[in-house]
This record gives sequence, C-alpha cells and structure tokens, in this order.
Amino acid sequence: MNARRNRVIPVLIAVFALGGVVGPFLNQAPNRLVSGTPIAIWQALDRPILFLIVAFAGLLIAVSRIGATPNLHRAMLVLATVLFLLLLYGAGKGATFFMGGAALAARVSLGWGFWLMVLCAAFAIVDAAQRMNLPPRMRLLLAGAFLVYLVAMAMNGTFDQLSLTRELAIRRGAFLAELARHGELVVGAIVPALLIGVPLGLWATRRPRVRPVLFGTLNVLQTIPSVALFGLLIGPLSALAVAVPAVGALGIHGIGMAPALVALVLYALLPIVRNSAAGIEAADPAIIEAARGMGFSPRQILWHAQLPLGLPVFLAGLRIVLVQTIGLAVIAALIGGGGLGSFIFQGIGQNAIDLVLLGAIPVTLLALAADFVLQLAVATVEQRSRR
Amino acid sequence: MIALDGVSCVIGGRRIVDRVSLTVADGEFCALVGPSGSGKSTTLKTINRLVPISDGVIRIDGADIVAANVEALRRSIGYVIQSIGLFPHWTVADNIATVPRLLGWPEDRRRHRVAELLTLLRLDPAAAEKYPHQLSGGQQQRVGVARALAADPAILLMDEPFGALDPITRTALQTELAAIHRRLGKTILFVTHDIDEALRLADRIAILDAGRLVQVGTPEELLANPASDFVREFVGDPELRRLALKIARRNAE
Repeated sequence: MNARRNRVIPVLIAVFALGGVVGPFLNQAPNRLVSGTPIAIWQALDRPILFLIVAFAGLLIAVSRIGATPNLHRAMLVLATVLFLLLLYGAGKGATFFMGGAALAARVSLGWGFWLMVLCAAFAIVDAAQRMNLPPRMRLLLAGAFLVYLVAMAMNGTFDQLSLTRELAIRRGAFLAELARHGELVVGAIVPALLIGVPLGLWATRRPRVRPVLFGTLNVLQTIPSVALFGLLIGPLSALAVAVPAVGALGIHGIGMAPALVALVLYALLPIVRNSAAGIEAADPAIIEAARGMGFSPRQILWHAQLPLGLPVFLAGLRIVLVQTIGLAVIAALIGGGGLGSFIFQGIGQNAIDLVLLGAIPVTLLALAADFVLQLAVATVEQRSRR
Repeated sequence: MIALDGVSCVIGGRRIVDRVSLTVADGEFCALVGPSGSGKSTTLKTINRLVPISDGVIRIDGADIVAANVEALRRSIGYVIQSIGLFPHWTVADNIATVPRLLGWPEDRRRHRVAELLTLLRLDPAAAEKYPHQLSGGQQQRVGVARALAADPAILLMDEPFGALDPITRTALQTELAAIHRRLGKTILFVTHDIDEALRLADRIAILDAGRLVQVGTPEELLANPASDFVREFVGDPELRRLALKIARRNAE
C-alpha cells in the first residue's frame, strides 16, 4: 500500500496553499478598466468558511496519506468537491461584502490566488474520480449532481456581485447570441467534416496507395497556423462571391461564417479521417477471416464487425475533433465569424480581463463537457464490446 | 465429395500450391499435413475460395466451385481456424447462430439449433448468453466448432483448429471431434503440422512438401510404406507411432 501512496494530493495542496497565502483571492477596483487593489483570502472570507477550507484541505492530505482504498478515494472525492464549492461560495460572499455600498461602476473580480486554488481543487476531484474508476452511469450521475448544485448556488444569487457575473448581466443578450453562434460554428463544421471524413477514411483502408497521399495532404493542412488559414480563405471566397452572385446571396463571403466554417472543416478532417481508418482496421484480422470464411459479404463484414468493433476508436477521434473545434472556433471572431471569441478579442482590445473570461470560461466549459460526454460514450461502447 | 484436380496457386510470383490433385470422399476425415510453408493452409483455403487458384479445377459433388456464388458456397461449408475469430461483441448463442442467421433461419429454429450444438460440444447451456472473453480458450474453440456446424454443412474445413490450445485441452477436443465425426459423418479436411494429431484423427493423410503432394494414404500405409525420405523423416519412428495409434484407437472405442 505504501507503493501506491498518493503523491498528487500533497503537491496539489501545496500549490493550493501557495495560492491562498501569496495570491490575491479577490481584487477590488473602482471601475472595470483599472486593476484595483488585491484582497487576501483572510480578508475576503468569513472566519467559519476560511476555517472550513483550511480544515478540508488538511483532511484531504491526511486521507491521501493513509492509503489507497476505494473508501478513502470516495472520501477524497467528497472532500475535494466540498473544497471546490466552498471556494466558489466564499468568493461570491466576499464579493457581495466588498460591493456593499460601493459605486455601481465598482468591480470585485477574482484574483489569481482564487483561480489557482479552484484549479487545484478541480484537479483533486478529477484525480479522486479517476482512481475510483467509476462506471459511466455513476460518473454521469455525480457530474449531474455537481452541476445542479452549482446552478442552485447561482440562482440563489451567490455570484451576483462578482465582476464576471456583472459583465454577463450587462451583456446577457449578446452572450446568448454569441454562445448560439459558437454552437453553430462547431456543429456546422463537425457535420460536414464527418460527411466528408468518414468516407475518406473508409476509402483509405480500401486503397493502400491512396493512404499516404491523403494523410500527407491532411497533415500539411493541419500544420497551417489557424489565423493564417482563416486569412488565406478570405481571397478565394470573396472572389467566388463576386464571380457567382448566387453564392454571395447564400451568405458566402470572404469574411463572416463561411471562411470560418471552411477552415474549421479542414482542421477537423485529419483526426476524423485517421480515426475512421483506424477504426475500420481495429477489428482482429482473425475475426475478418472467420467472417469471410462463413460467407459474409464485404458490406456485412463492414456492418457487423468493422463498424461496431471500430466504434470506440472512432468516438475517441470524434472527441479530439470536438474539443479542437470548440477551441479553434474562437479564432472565427477575427474574421467576423462571431462566436465566443468576440468577447475574448474585445476584452483583449479593451484590456478588460472580465470580458476575456466571459468568452474563455464558456469555451473551456463547452470543451470539457464535450470531452466528458464523449469519454462516457467511449466507455459505454467499450463496455458493450469488451474483447 | 471434394475433388481437387491439378490445383496450383501462384501468389506474388511464388508457387505456393503446385499441381495438387486430391479427392476426399463423402464422410471421410482427411488430414493435410506438412511443415510450415508447405502450402497446406493455402490448399484448404482454395476450397472455400478464400484464396483464388491460378490453375486447375476444384469440384464439390461434381460441380465446379467457381460456378457457384462465392458467399453461398462459403455458407455451405463449415470453417474453423486456429485463432477462432469469434465476434467479441456477440454472445456465444449469436456467434454459433451466425451462418443460420445469414441463411435467414427463423429465430426459434436458430435457438433450438444453438441448444443442440451446446450439448453436442459439451458446453454449459448457460454459456449461450456469455460473451467470448468470458470463456477459456478451449471453450472458445468449442464455440468455434459449433459455429462451423450450425447450418449443418456437409463439409468442414479446419485450419489447425487446436494448434493454439494447451496439450490437455487439445486432446480433449480431438476426442470430441472424432466422436462428432463418427456421429455426424461430415466430410472433414483438417490441416495440421502435428503428425500425431493427423494419425490419431484421420482416415487418410495427405502429406505436402513445398506445395506438392508427396504421399496420400491411410495412417497404416504411411507408417508401413513411406514414399520418400521426407515422409519417413516427417512421420518419425513407425513403431512408436503405431503403438500410439493403437492406443488412441482403443481409447476412442
């Protein structure tokens, strides 16, 4: 049991403590453009909450030192989750306290000490969850419960006085529109990429000579920096819109969503094609030989053996593609494609960190959610077709 | 009846099978034996057309196999391979009923057949709903044999079916196969590199070397009159083999 002693938790808690002692937990500023004065954690939080945070962090270390049994992992998961929620709750309460009586333009924002601590708590949650190796259904249940609790806290107004929430409140309409646009960009890129990529992957498995050419081309595409690719598409697409007015009438122009979608599709192709091909080839050759020998047609082999047995590999590729596309769609804002990137680039332009976070946090959460869901899908499928 | 007439296979410029002529009578158990690379597996696979032939004719019950629909031909022949190749995402019952399903048998007939085969192969009826990975290697190959027998084919092609099993499991399955052969009277062509296995199971043995058929005969004939030094060396000490053969025959009765 000594050999399996958890080394992750002590490191995380050390960083956690560093964030708490050195870093500002909150920042108070008279308006959203100046950087403001730091507020340490012991100034920001009520005594009981501070005490609980210290106590739970200490307990987490203690439990991690005892050993590595399922029950201890369960305890660690609970401790880390409570720690995470306490930090959020504390930050919200602190902001409410410091905003009390302040001018409307004043802002209390989250300091880097807070972010470091929250990140460490999140890592501790993930670490404990992974050690428990939960079945997909349990993971979904736990994530759901966690989410419900967070939403309840938000509805209760816990976070209302944080600068981030205030920024969101001011831009609620724009935020929802850009969020929807971001979703459109992602779905609008993934669906055509699947429609093109899956047949291409199949083709690569059938024609050994096609393969290196296809993969080479897609590899080169992947190496073009994203901003450059978005820029490169402006020329041809605007020329196309001018030359064929019908195309322009469809809304395809040099800037806007069209070049963004084309670029996102191109980037999505390599992982999709590669994992489709790898999925088709994932089945044990003995299974294919037996199937052929029993009188399966090539299509029946594809349908009954290669597709179901390759599904986990294919879904793993889809997971990469989804996360990648959600992140890359941020760049679309640079060429008028909209999406959550708009806030990020506006925020950078105005030196308003809260505005940057208003774009960056949802993008991160979307990517994490997509990753989580597809991980579950892979686990479910693998459980069904265990070898 | 399977009749190979002057069958050759040239793959990538190499002559893997060289003018092999061999007839296997109905109900006969014939073993194809030879060292690795002698073309015995390739010869077997020409019969269900997994390997195309370059020259010669193969007839089953007098009909040229090239004339038949390739999938229909394969569905009418049982096929067992060393690496088994069960579908890992299908239950044992579904694996056994593979060919009946391809042939469109109704469900209760399939279920009935699966139960019958589980009994024949001495598998636990509860194994039907298990997945292949839950079975031992020997049990998996029992399922492999059951699957090959499912649609009641007249011919069984077996490509080193017991080669990957431990000696005890292998002997058990050999005994089982001999009993099934006696009971069902299938025509069996059985590839192996293990002369003891061939002597124990086969009515007739065909010995291959470098793609050529060097001798065909009953076990006793092979032991008594090896046609060449190669056969003599491959068969080994005839006295010892004869003794082993006698014991095996007695045990089988």
